[in-house]
Amino acid sequence: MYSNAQYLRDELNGQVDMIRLDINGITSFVPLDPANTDYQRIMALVEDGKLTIAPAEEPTE
Amino acid sequence: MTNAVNLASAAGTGFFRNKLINGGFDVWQRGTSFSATTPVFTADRWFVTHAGSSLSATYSRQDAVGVWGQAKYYIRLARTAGSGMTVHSFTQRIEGVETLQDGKATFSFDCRDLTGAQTIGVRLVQNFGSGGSADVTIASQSVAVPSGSSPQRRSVTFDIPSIAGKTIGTSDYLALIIDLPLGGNFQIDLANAQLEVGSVATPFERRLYGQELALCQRYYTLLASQLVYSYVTGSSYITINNIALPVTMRASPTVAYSGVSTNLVSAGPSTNTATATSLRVSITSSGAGYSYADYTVALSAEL
Repeated sequence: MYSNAQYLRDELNGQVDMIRLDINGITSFVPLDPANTDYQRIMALVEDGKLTIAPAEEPTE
Repeated sequence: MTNAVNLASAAGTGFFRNKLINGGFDVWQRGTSFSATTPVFTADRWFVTHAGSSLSATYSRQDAVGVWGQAKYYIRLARTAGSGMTVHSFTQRIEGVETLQDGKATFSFDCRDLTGAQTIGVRLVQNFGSGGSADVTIASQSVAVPSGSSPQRRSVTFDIPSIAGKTIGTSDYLALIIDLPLGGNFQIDLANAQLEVGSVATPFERRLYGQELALCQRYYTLLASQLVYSYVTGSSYITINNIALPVTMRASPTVAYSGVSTNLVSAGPSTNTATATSLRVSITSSGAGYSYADYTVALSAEL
């Protein structure tokens, strides 16, 4: 269900605030909000070692 | 005014007594027909889950005018093949585990099956959220779904436990779960679903479409024909649009784009930030000129 996950930075302030990943094959963006149920499931998969989230790319400037 | 006062008095608890959202199956932001993936949201706020060896099923909106009293639509849950089914249920999660706690609650709905009589189960589950106490299931009750074209209204009453002493975590809810038959095929039609306080089923509360849509948009919002656009003098310029959401969502939503059409865009549309009240969408230009993306965006803060 969840795959190809990577953290994303806010392009305005450079802060990591989002995960980009595929949900059932659809590119999706999940905010780092504990109340978001996708985020809850993603973190549970990470904790169980079933999903890895790639680090965010470094800011270009 | 006299009528309004009387109506509220008759209901005992005034307006918005139906704790279900979209109990009339009027709002279908995701589409009007769905196949048997799991879980799959159908009408807004309602989703189907299943487990089993194989399943062929369709969940669809049907025209109710002239069939179901004042209803405009109903939902048809049709299974045409299946084997080894262990779960097949139709659910709505109501935000806030405190909903209807420590008292009686009654679920009522219209139903029928054109292909034959069925028996379904109805149960409630108190979920205390991430980090909260363990689920509490309120025992399932059987309901007979009549065969034939004439729908009948059914009701079941539950004793819902107190939540005193429980730990409430994040994203807690009360779930209404309709357990569909696990054996054989069916074509169950449901309309006018209502869950309310007390032991008496009152007439279905038909809210205005705009009210129901706004209630749904707290959990799922579909914004079509969106545009992020600017004139740029070269590549690698980032354009960001801020969109104010029509309704404050339950949480910062998951975002997905579809129907994307772009010009002079090397990346995007992408989500810069998403909060319960706004969305910032970005694109990166691939050259000089009008750089834009036309898209539909879906935002989900479902429980």
